[in-house]
Amino acid sequence: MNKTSVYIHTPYCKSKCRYCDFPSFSGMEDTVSEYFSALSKEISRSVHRGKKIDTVFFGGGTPSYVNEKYIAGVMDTLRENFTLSENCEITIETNPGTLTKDKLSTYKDCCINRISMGMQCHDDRILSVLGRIHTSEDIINGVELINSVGITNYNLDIMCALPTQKLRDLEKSLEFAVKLNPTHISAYSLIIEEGTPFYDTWQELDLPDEEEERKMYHLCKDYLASYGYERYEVSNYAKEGYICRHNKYCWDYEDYIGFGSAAHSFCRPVRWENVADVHGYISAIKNNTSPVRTFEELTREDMIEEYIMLALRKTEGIEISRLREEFGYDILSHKSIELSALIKSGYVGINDNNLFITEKGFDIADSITLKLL
Amino acid sequence: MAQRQELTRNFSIIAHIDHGKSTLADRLIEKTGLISQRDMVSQVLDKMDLERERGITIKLQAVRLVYKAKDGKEYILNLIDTPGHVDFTYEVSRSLAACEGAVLIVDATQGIQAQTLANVYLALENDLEIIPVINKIDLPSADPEMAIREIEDYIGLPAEDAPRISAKEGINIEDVLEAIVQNVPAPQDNDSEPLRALIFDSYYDQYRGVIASIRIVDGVLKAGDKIKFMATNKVFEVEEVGVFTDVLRPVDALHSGEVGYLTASIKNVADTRVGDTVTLVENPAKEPLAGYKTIQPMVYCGIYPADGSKYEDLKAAIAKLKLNDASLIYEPETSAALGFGFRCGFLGLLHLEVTQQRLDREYNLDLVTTAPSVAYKVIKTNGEVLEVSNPTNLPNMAEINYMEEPFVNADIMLPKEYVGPVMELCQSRRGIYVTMEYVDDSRVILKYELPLNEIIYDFFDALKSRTKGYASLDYEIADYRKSKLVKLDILLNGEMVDALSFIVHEDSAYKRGRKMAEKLKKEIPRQMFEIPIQAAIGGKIIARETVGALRKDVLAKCYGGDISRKKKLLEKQKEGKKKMRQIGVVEVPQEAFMSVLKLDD
Repeated sequence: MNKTSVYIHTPYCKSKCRYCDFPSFSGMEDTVSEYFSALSKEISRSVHRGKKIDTVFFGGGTPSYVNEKYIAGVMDTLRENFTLSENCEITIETNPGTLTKDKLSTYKDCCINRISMGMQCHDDRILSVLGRIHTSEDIINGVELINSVGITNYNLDIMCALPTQKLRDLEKSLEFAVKLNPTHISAYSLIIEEGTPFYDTWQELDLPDEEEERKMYHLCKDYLASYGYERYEVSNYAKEGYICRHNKYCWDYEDYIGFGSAAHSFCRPVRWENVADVHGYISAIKNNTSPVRTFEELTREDMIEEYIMLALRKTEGIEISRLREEFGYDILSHKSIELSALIKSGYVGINDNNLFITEKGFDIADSITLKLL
Repeated sequence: MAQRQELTRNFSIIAHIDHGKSTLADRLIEKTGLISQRDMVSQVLDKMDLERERGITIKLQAVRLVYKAKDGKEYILNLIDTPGHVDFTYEVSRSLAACEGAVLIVDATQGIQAQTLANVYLALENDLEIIPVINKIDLPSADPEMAIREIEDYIGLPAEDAPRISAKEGINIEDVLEAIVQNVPAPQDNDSEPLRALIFDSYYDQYRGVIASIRIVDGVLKAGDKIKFMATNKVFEVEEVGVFTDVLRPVDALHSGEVGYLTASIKNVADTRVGDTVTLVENPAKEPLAGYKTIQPMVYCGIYPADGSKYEDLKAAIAKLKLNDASLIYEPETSAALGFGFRCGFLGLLHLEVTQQRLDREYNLDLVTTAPSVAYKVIKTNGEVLEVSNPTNLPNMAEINYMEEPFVNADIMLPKEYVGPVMELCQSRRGIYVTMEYVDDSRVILKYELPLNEIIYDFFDALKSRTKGYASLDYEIADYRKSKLVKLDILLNGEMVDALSFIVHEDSAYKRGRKMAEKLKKEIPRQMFEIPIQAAIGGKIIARETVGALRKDVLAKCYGGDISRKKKLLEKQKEGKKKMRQIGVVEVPQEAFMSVLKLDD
């Protein structure tokens, strides 16, 4: 308990990927300097100052796109205002097309000890359809650079169910990724989100159908397992000892504090979200007003629901005793009818203190979750 | 004749739906200055929103107009509105019985329609003077001569002098008023006879109890009179009598020939049945007025709250509707699939739909309704006769000697080029051809005898789609006939769903069973497991479909920033699930229970 993690948002990208609905922007580079000043100010006036931080995550956007001095500056500010735990996990998201040795050295110097790299796939043709700014060669070079500065803990993001992608293509991408020897792999099925260029043209994209998509998902799982990457969440795989602690905290329903535009925070029982608009964020901070856009105080019922919803994404599932002790909720008795049906049909399992979705159930995890809410 | 009667005219307006009845009523009201134009909500006679929306009159009303005619005298014109739908034939006939004349509106662009004829016949049966009026002459496609020819040829009424009007544009409205004054006979002065007053409508007012609309045929009625309703034998003391102006205006007495209302602290509209005769306890009439019938529901269905915990709300709402709708009957029923609800009886499909919508809108209730059914007569082997309106209550086939079902006489008016497809439709619905008559060069009336149970599902829609919407239908119940009927059951995941059972003729059972299974396959969303859908007759499976198991339902990404969105999504799904019915392990959407209504190709 009392672990806190910190999320730092960088809302800039060299170019926007065609599937992306994240709050990031290209062509706003002139605001970078002001943005990071504001970010530092937000951190140093935070009411949470002084807390002990166990993980830091630089996400985006593309944090590796901006000059590394800004990242180092944020780290300094964090150290001035918070206590970083001894083995604090500090991750930065990167795009292979933006990495240089200098950047990585700076990251290393300011104690960043984990790199997450968006590789997505090995096929340059598909990469360009996605609107990625990098090639497969950039991926190989990027990993070499990471290794060259002595960072050994790195993740690769892979996507499946991509336009024109066949099962065989995915297998090659997995092979490609595994050869680069990451400690962690996130493998996501492409989601066509509203408001993205893909949303308007999805019918022309030649996307795999649902059946094929499920085969791809299962291929990821089986292939990665055979190389020692164990799935611990719907889309996340890690070698032993390399689970991403930052994201795990989120699914474990621990607190996190987000800084920057569009950053989300959760300190029980309150959840809030900063403005997504970069200018709006900068001026709010400058004018000493709150950058918070939405603020929600959760009821006990909300928290029970959220805990269940998040915990069931993990293979380890729900800690039954924790639900009982922290929220006074006995899921076994409240959902006994649903549970017995789900267990009987092999979608849910129970052992010792955990209630979890089985291998068979993961394909329809959301339907199962709904039954247990 | 006393001056009172001489200066009174009682009339109705009859028309096919959409031919402008309510609009003309508005104009007459406006022209006679009862309500200023400024204050007038369009179509004042159609009180309920639903009625206005559908352009039909469900609840009848009367209104008293004062008109200074060209002869210089001031006349009282009582306009008695009639419901404009086939479900309410009896109510229409009673309203007409309260009048001496009827204004027949014919749309100059469409000519005579099936309902026009049906209403004309009703009016003629009641010895009414018919005043033809040609409406919508302002429209470019208007052909008044055609309409006049049709009235003359088909109804046999001289129509050359019929007012040619546009109710919408207010053209020649005065001609209609003059025609009423000149051609509708004045009522007779029977003041000296024992009281006989015809109830042609009633509604419940929460402060005054039932307000009964009456036409005094014989005698005089005053406040304080002790009255008796001759059909129900109930006795009350009159609190107030009055006439219908823009408000209810009390008067000292209502005399023979007059139209008005009475109140008598009556708690239940069922006590003031339409068609009943009011007389005085002292010096009662010997015979009631002719034409009274008890209301016989024709169509039944189960109505259940979508959310089982709302049963009490539904109960209260139906009871309230019933206060004002004597023709609605209901009793509690229980379904294994749907829980507690009510079996309701209606005059027809429209009455059913309107009731559903009122429950939904006025009482904000989410409902699940089962497929409509008619009342079957079941003659058991032991000689016992049952009336069954809920398929679930059908006795075991072994106990049934035979069954009877209601038939209707149907008149379908349509352009002759569609005769082929419509005959095919009627044939496929077990119709028995009676005759075909020409209305004019281009239109015919097809007369069929049809089983009511074939009409209540999707007959209207099928008829419309086969005739590009040009056909009109009118029907009346004829009799019960012996039929080879079977109960078709639906099994979901091996479990029989009582609320999905229906009774069907043996010959169409296979086809309907197959279609029902196909339809349900479309209505039931994929779930965690495969769901077999089976149609069965007496335990024998006649059709099978399968809803495949859900293959994928998992959000790929869910991090800190996604939680609120994800939770909202789940909450929405949870809400959606509340609208589903749990049948064993299967979740069934409400719409599925109405699937049987949409089995036509």
